Amino acid sequence: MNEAILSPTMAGILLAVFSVIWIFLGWLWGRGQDQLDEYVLAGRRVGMALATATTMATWVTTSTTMVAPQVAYQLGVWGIIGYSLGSVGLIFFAPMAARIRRLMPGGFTSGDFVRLRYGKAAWRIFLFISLLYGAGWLVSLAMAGGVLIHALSGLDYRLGMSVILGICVLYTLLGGLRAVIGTDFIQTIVIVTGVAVLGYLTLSKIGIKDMHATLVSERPELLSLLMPAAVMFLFNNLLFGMGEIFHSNVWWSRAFAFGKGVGFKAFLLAGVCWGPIPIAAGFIALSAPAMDLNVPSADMVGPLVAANLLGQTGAIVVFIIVFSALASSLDSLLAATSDLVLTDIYHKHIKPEARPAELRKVSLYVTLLLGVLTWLVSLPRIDTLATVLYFTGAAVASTIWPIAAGLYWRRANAWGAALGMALGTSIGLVAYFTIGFYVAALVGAAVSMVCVLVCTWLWPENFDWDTLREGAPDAETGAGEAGA
Amino acid sequence: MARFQAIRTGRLPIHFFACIPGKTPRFSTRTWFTAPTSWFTTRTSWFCLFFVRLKAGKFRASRLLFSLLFSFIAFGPIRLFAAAPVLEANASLDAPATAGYFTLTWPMPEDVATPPDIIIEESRTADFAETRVVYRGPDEATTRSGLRNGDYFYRARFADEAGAWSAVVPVRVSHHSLSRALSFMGLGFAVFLSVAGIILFGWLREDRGGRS
Repeated sequence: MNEAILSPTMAGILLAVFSVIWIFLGWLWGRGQDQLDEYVLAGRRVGMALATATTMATWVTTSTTMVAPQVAYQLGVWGIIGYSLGSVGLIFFAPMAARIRRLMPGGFTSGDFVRLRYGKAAWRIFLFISLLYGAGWLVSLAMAGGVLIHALSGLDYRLGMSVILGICVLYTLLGGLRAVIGTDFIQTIVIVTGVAVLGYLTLSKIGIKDMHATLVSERPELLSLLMPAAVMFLFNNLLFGMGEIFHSNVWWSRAFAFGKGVGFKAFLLAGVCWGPIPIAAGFIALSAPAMDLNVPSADMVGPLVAANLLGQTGAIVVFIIVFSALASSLDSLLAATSDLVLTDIYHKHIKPEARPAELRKVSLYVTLLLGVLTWLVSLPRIDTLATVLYFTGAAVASTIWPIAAGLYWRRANAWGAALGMALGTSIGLVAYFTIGFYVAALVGAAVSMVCVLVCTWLWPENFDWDTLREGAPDAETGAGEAGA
Repeated sequence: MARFQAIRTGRLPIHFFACIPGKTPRFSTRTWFTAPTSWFTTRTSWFCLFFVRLKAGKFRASRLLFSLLFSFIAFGPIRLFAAAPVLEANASLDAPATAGYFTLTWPMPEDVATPPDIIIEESRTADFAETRVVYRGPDEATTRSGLRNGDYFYRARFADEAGAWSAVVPVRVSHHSLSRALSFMGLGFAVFLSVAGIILFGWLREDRGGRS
């Protein structure tokens, strides 16, 4: 039997305390940011420590605190390892971030790159994918907030979801990217410490021997290294993570915001440090059978195990960790998605003559609007977290090749990019519905790769890298020399 | 306390509602306070309408008020729900669970102050010759995972309703073939290696270019 570990009053107090902290910090760090560049990209001079922390904190999201335990519970050992491979995306983005900063010193969004590199058709397909992904991730994060509070305190899902979303919208509105990065730093420390403590306590209280014996007798496939769905999931998750990072404006905005020479080291270090976190978070889910714990919905398993294992204190620790993880990702995503909507849709499509001061003002309305839309979609609990998140897998993985080839190959062309994204998404979604969520990204990436390779071979382009220097300050020099 | 609980949620004699097959009436005074709209919008409102239409040649507000009050006090605490729970699964014999996991659900009666516990039994044979309890408690779902290929059978009953089992829900677990799984793994590895190749090759080339 699962009863709420935290009383609604305690949950309310924790929510209130952390809400006040995040909102105060948002206000504090957001003062005096009247310029668009300051508000949206934190002045383009974020240092190494903050850069590494914000990269880690943003990537420690529902995927590590809620979905990693879910896939561990569903797909076993490979589920955990598959999740930790999400760090590969960050590691490979390290050299890309350095190149992005060098090629586009005046860039604002990932949409800017696709527009300048491939033209308007591919850009619009990319925007569709990017906004679909942004919406899917925002909804899954907001849902995770509701699921967490419901699992731990029994409070209504809609209430928890609304409060967490409201807080993140408020402090993102107040502080822009500077507040997001600042709070991320604190949230990283909380998350890493909390997950390490939880992993240690689970090991010491349940023990590997009991966990293993119960899994062998009751859930044997979770330990099987040849479990077919889990084997399929392994590279699917790696490619999904790569696609998320390579295309999403969350990461591109950081590549633009980090100071010169910081991006490479920050992404590399964050990737290496991030790897063990989903292993620790996912591991505790495997103790559920040994604890004879009922798991009504797989996405509740992480908080349920921790709370039941560690009692009231554990529930408070989990609450703080997951709340921090959610907030750190939700604010980043809100900020980055509103930048994309502001720059690529409002400025480039609706009002090209808008001045920076007006854009700065509109960015507030866009963030607010995104918050309201996310709230409306999340209100009915659509599905489990993983299902909602992986629905976008085919789309985001189909951007891997267009982005990577576009950054490093002169000969990659618009046809390959547009076809790769459109066909990769479509065929990946067919795989999602006919085979399962665990192959959608893989199929999307493979189809996209074939499209890009064939089109590059048939109609090679000779792209001029200087085209990407739109809006660059005169002092910044030198595009890279790489090119096929 | 235990006695009070028994009175609060005790069952009325079955013949009282014998005209409604498959339903068991339960009595809970707490629903006066926890579900004030439920009684009005369902059967008691029918009673009101019936009373007003039968007795009155013309509509009278005082009579409506009286019948509302009467039906609230008399029928408000009574809730009917199935004697056996309704068990469902998101996999079946025709649509097997191809990843070894699936969820069993059983909606619990609403408006009851203390819902009864539920017992879920699993068996590998349809006749339930050998069973094991996979869940007992007040939740409304359970997720099974990590199961091997084969047929699994489930049934449910309320913990206080001896003999009233739900219909048996069969679930087939049939994992994807290993050859299919390894093909996807190989494809994924190939895509990953090629992306890694573009980035690493480009990075090394750029690095050399920068130094020179």
